[in-house]
Amino acid sequence: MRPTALPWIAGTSALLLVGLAEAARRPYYGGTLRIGIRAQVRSLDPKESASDPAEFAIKLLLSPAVSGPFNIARWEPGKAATLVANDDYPGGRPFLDSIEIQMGRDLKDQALDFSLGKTDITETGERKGPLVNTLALVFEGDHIAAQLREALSLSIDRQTIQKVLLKDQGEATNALLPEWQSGYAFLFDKPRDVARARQLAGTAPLLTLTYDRQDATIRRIAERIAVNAMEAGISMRPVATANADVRLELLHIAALNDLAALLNKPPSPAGTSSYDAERSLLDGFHVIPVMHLPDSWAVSPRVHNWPDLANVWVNP
Amino acid sequence: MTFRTKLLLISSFSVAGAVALVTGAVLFSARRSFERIDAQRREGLLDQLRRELDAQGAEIGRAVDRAAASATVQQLLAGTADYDRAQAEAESQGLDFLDVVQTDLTIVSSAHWPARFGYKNDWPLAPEDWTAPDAFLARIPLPEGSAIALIAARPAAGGSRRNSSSLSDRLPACMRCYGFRLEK
Repeated sequence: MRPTALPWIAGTSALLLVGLAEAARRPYYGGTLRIGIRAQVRSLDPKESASDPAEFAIKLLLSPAVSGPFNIARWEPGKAATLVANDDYPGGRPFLDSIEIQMGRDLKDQALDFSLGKTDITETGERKGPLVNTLALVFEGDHIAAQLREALSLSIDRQTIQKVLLKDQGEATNALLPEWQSGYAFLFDKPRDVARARQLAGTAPLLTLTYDRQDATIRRIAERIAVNAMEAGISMRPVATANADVRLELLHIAALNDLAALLNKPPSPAGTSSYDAERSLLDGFHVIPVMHLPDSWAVSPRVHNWPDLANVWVNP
Repeated sequence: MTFRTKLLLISSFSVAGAVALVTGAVLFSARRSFERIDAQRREGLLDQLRRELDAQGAEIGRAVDRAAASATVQQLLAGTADYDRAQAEAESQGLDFLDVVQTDLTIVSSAHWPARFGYKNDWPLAPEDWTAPDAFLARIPLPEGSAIALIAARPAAGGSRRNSSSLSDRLPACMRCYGFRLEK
């Protein structure tokens, strides 16, 4: 081989590599996007509020406004759904041929499916993005004294939960709506006061606490809240049953009235300001906001442009 | 009373007395020997328990030494490891419980109660217990009650330094549950 051919070979190889890289970035038509979620969506009625963030996301995905590029081809309430590309979509046919949604997959199964490449999108990823969920302690009924509920709220070390347990993700809060949504969340801020909490708690009875045991993050936060409460003289025992005194719940934030519905409270009368509506929900400490958190989605590297449905494409 | 009757009564009493005396003596000596055997057995068991505790204590001491010198504990003390890393270290050293604490007894990481980081360690120990070379028994608080545990405390030295204070003045305290939980 002539030495003069070497630059030519190197140049051609470089061009080939650049071409391959470009081809890898270019959207690919076809393929199926597979989504696994834990919630069992039974109704697509937008009037029915959904507390579970994944359930909310899937309902949104299946709503005509969002799923325009796709048509619902199969709908098995609580089990599965299939969307197929809408060839007549005014904005142009989407890249994907179809989207398959599997419901009722618990987090362990989702993690396994994701690691085996059986699912492209699951709820097992890092919490990133906008703060669209509120983690809150929700009391059922009035059988726990309001003083004790307030004591529990004052005892929680939200800053440490955010800094250490969540590694700076999310936002510590005493408000239901995040600052970006309401603009007045800071008005509900109340510093931690263990001495006052101890005073209010007095000889508190044992509280039972329930939470999503599959979600490791929620479990760690619940355990920390129990330790914080213990410092204020409140004993909390985690239980697996649903009918506990208090439950730690991740609520998807849509609007205050939706939140009121989720908390079994009547909607605010017309004309009530958003601040007053939120204040009335928080009065009595039936719900104690702890953190604002982003959604948690694990997205396979083969998926591009998620969650922009019209432009999502997957590697072949 | 005839002479024959008197003779019968005297001999009967003599025989009964002799039998009672012999029975009493046999009972007494049997009890003594049972008590002696029992004491020997108890001493043997206690010796065995002490030897077992010493062996377990030495083993725990070695495990705690290894944990104190481990990279995980150094990272925890340097503030570069997650708050729940003590769990993995306790598992790898075969310790049921492990607390990594600072000199002011603030928990850096707890294997058996991860959520307690940042709180003061509240084991009912005397100051000299923290520097005791041997393992000892103590009651340890747990999320659901408490447990009797054989524990050892060791200082951790070395590691990377993130601030000016010496890390050698910080103590990891490790312990091993000896087997029975006292209360729920």
